[in-house]
Amino acid sequence: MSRAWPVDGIAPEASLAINARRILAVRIAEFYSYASIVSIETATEELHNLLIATKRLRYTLEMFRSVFQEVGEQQIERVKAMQEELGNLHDADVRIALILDELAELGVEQTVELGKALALTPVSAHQAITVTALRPRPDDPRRGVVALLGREYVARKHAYDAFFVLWQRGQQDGLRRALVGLSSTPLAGEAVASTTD
Amino acid sequence: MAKERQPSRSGKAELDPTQSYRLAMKQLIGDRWGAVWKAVPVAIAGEDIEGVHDVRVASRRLRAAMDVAAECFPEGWYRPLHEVAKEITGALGEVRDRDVLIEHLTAERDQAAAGDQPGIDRLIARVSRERDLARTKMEAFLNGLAERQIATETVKRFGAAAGWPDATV
Repeated sequence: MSRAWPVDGIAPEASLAINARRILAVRIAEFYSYASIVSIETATEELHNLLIATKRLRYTLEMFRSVFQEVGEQQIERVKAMQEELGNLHDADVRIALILDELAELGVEQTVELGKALALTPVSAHQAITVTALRPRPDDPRRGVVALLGREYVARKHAYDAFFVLWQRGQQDGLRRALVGLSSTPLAGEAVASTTD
Repeated sequence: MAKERQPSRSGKAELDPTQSYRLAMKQLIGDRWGAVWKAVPVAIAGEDIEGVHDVRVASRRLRAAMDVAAECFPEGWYRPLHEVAKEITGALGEVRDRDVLIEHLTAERDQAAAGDQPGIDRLIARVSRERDLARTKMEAFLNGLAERQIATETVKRFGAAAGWPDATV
């Protein structure tokens, strides 16, 4: 898992609003640092890191709701939608890895069984055994696992496509501009806000 | 003097943007420790898989706050509590990830043709074994938090909101 980008310059005695915007600026930069990999559908690890960066951005917006107010709420919804699709994508990647591992394990088990069968039977039976080995039985567990693997790749594709549409929509609708605006807009009278609570 | 926090539309007390960051984060982190402790008993009971999810979400939100507040508090006591927050997320993640997987695989199995079911059953059995092991570790970890009196420490550092909901600490 990628580590969160550090936030320098936190000022404990300054106002919540000042620090919230400083944190948000870092989370925005962290989120958009993945822009170059968004179009690479096979970038499994980087897309997972983007998911984590998206969660951090969302949590920051939610944590400081009172600072970012209604405009912040609108961005939370947009970020949350992307997070959900990236989460679906990651879930599919986890399942695909599990299934591939299980198929490898099944292959090893069946190969060991084949070796044992060949070792324990007369040579005259070997041809029948090898022919059978190449034709999976109706209850061969690989049947269902391989079918599931295909469905998981379809689910992954759908999740990626849905995420990519949301990303492009964000580009067109000015998501970045709205987020940056939140990270830089001071409150009225903030410069003289109390720092002695 | 700190302004009284106003309830937000979610019903939780809202932070005053003009108050000092240190004070705001003390309140926020206190509330978030409280949310973690509130969710823990359901996760330990294990009757509803959402119990684990709720603690994990609460601990993630807690971490998000603690990650950006280290400068506000003495490192000597803050860092160990920050580590505990990270450990909670990790300990519950192992269980949660498998709960979600089992739920998905079970739904797939129910819709699969009869010939496809043995393979999915095998996957479910594997993940269930991993999940049981992770759950045993998680329960030991969560019970260990009580033995280490972490909630007493969180109340001491962040106020009454950071304790068990029904605690008389």
